Amino acid sequence: MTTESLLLIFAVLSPIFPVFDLAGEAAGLQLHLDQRLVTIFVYGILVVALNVQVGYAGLLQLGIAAFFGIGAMATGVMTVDKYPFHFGFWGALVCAPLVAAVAGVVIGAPTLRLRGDYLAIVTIGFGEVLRTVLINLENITDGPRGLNPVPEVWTPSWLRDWIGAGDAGEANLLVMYYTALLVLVAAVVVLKVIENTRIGRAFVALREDELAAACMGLDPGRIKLMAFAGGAALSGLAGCLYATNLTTTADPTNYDFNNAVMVLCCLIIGGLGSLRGALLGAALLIGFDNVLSPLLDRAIQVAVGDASHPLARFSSWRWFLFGFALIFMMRLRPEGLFPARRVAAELHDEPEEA
Amino acid sequence: MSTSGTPLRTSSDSPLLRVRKLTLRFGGLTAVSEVDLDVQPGEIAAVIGPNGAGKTSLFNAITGIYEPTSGEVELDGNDVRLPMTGKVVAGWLATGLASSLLFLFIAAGIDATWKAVVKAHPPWEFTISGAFSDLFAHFATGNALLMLLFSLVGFAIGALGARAVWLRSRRTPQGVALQGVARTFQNIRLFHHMGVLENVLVAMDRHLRRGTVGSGSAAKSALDGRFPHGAWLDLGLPAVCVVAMAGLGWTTGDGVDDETLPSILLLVMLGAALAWLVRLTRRGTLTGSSRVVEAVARQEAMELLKFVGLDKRAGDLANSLAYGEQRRLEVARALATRPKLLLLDEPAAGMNPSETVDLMALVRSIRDRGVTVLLIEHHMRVVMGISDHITVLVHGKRIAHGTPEEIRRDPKVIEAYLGADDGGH
Repeated sequence: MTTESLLLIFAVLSPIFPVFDLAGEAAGLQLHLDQRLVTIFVYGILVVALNVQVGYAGLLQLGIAAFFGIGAMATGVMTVDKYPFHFGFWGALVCAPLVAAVAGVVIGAPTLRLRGDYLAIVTIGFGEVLRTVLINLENITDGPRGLNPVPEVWTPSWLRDWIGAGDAGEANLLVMYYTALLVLVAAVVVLKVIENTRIGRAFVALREDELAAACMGLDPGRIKLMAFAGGAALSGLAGCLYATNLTTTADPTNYDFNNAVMVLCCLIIGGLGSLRGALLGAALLIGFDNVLSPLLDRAIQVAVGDASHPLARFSSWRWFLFGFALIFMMRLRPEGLFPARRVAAELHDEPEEA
Repeated sequence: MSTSGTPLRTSSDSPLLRVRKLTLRFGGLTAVSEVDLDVQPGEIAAVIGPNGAGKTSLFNAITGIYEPTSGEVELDGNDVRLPMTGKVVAGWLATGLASSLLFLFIAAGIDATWKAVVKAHPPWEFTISGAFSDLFAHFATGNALLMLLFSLVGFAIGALGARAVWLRSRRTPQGVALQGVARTFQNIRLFHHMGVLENVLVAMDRHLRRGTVGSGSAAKSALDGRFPHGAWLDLGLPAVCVVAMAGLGWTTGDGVDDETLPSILLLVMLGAALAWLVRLTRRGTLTGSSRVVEAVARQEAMELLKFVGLDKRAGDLANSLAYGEQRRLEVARALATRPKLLLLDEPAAGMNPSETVDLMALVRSIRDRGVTVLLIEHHMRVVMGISDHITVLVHGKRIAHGTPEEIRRDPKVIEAYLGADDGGH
């Protein structure tokens, strides 16, 4: 899959989703596929961001949701009416990643000397601390209520009329949809290019043999910080789109450890270190969570009649299913569905060397 | 310090590498004890000694992997540790100031400060100068002693922490490598799951970053008017548009009445961003100049592979190479950093006699490229055949130093290392 073909897929696929929605409406189902797909795209960016840190540079990072939250919260502060900043969506789209990247540098710089498990523990801690901080800085973040309303993607009214054919709600959904898709495609294209440049090679070299890389003049601290800040910036970008899509920064518990684990699940199931694997993982898990399980819930409700019991709701089983999928993958195909060539080789070589 | 072009040869009076009284202790064990070593530019020098004599430890101390317990390592008359400059001290102070600011806000209460500064007025009455006067007014209401104390503690933590990190990273493998020392490893440490050519390219990272790849006319064409402005043009236009739009949002709020200007900005921004993405996919590098630099670097890497006889294997994975080939790839990778001094740690280990002969020729041709070579070796035929000077280590101490002839005749060496029959070859 080349980046050109990704752009092509973008161009080909994007107009068909509203058609599904219309068909669903005709059948009596409120699908809102375009809105749900935005969530998939946002998580796609998040998984790709985690891939920069875990897949490319080999830094086991379990606090990705914190940077996601920082991006969302920065977007809220920069755009809501009650604060004087009013950057608007496009301003926030540029500033939120910068804020998240600065947070990444501040957290990353002192923790880069830690390896593997220790870095994971520090980043889990950071995620938990950040959630508590966001809840408690009530004057800034409005605590559990979240900042709202976050304005929608600003587009000129003539463009909006043309896209939505006069229907304001539909125009809103479609503009959000195309914006999120465009940002995702841009992120993937840039990362795909980086994979084959000096920086991408440095990431892999560092993951393979840090000491040898340092003896060749590569600065491990600097390269790790680059990966950490880059991943944080992309997470901030995802956070900006997330808040804009929800029109609120939401309850900070949305950015907790569960979320980070979910993103890691997507990455591991898709394939560490591989862009298309990351995208596939996001599409499978988040798609299941956002598109399939509400539909199944509905089906169960129709079949059983009364679905008030928690066990009768399909969505109550999601963590069980994710855990099962993860164990299944670890057992049968530890490199993921679409692994990067190198990561697969590393995973399969190690038992022989040990 | 020479960072580009052909390695420099300095005048022969001053040694290229000068090690003085180097001692390396691990707990109670002294691995290297007060070793002196001079390597003259342009020579092939060797360190020999029985197993456990501290040869590899000496290499690790020279290349910055271990911090010596005491002693000096100088390259071209300069200490290999980073010099303490005004910029470094300024960095500590800046870190201290940033952290003291954070601590000041914590003492004043981040939440309360925000309330007093941003939420004190309705959003449309907010001004930057007003915000600052609100900020100082808020600080004035706080506990001055607490805030002073917190700021000082914050400064101390930031500045001392930055200093501690810098002191610990004064001597690093990458720092020594950047001064022109490259090495190979006793147990081969290639990037096994990268390609052969990629292994060499990784070592050229510094030159790729600075655009100093290639030599002569190739280098000139790589840099000719194309470096390093491409990225700024690519991203500058969308950035200007976004800043302008954010600025409009600031001054007029979100309900923009006249949409002409923001519409144009949005379309220009999206157009420029899309055009950039399409160009990215076409050329495969982030900027136009990096594409040229990359191409020249690949050419240079191929020349290095040809030099060690691996140009036919350029596309293979490094771990698919035979043992002797892996050793030669390690040499090519080390040469790609354009070192002044190349340290080879047992280059002939595990090689058969004909490979060993090839290796000796390779080491000589490396020297003829202007790279000084220091090697550890057990094969006496190799050591005696190619070395200009030999240093003998036993139990971490230097017991002899001289030309191969002198070493061969030295009774201490014969007793300690070569054995009674003057053997080994």
